[in-house]
Amino acid sequence: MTSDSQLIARSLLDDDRAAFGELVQRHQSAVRQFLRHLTRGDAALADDLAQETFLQAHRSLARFHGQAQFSTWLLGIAHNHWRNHRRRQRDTVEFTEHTAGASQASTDRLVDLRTDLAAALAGLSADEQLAIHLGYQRGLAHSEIAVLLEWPLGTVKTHLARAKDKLRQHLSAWNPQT
Amino acid sequence: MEPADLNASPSRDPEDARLEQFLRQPLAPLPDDGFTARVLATLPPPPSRTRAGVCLAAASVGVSLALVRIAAHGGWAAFPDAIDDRWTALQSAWAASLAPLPPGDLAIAAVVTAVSLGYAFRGRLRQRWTACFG
Repeated sequence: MTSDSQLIARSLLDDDRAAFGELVQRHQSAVRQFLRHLTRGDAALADDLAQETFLQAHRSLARFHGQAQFSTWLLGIAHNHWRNHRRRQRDTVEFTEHTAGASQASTDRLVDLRTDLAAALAGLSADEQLAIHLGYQRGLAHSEIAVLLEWPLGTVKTHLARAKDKLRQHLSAWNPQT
Repeated sequence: MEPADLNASPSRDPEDARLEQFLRQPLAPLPDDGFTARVLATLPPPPSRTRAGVCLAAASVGVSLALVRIAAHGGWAAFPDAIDDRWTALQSAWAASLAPLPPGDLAIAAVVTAVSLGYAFRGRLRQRWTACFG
């Protein structure tokens, strides 16, 4: 498989749109999911911001020198776009996506646990959800999260620890066998 | 305290392990649903065409101005003499600027120029290196 850096080089040197398209296809899911977290489940807004993110990435591709992973660099651009958007317009969208699953509890135990914890995740603060998303679901290190979100390292650790405490409490109350 | 690398050793507490297992479950990837095509459709047109258009326009303006100047200063008959005069003046200026420099200084200047160009275009050189050698 062609590496990200080779696709970037092709896109830069030959203005190869197909190469850039492959990069978009590879990373669209991560960027859109990240923005859905930031916009609290507003898929349409998240997709608009994701589109702006990739346009900005295309314009700034020459400034990417591989200091971080390409996906992390994209998430940084996405975060900046979301912050600019939030500055322009206060986010009033209700958080619906994550709670929507709570009413669809299945008899399957694993699905029960997932549904229950998904509801617990929805109860976390926006920053805690973001830290959990990046730290666990995206597998970023603390230092990477700190750079990406421009948070002090201690804040990242605090958000993660608090989020896990809340989820742990939720989990201890959950007993599928009773 | 959280480990710096969240993918490091698993927790020993069974409850913690269950929580970590849940949190580490990879998210189902979002289907593209035409997203990539929409992004590609909104990209600006390739800059090479724009640049070529600007170059062509500038060249056309330059040629037009040159023709006007030639016509105003005696036409084509006087053109070779005018070129000779300019060429002689340019050679004199070039010789005057190089004459005081000893060969050692010239070599240093050439090295400094090469290093500066390499530094200025280091990103592009690195990209080209990646494209050629992976």
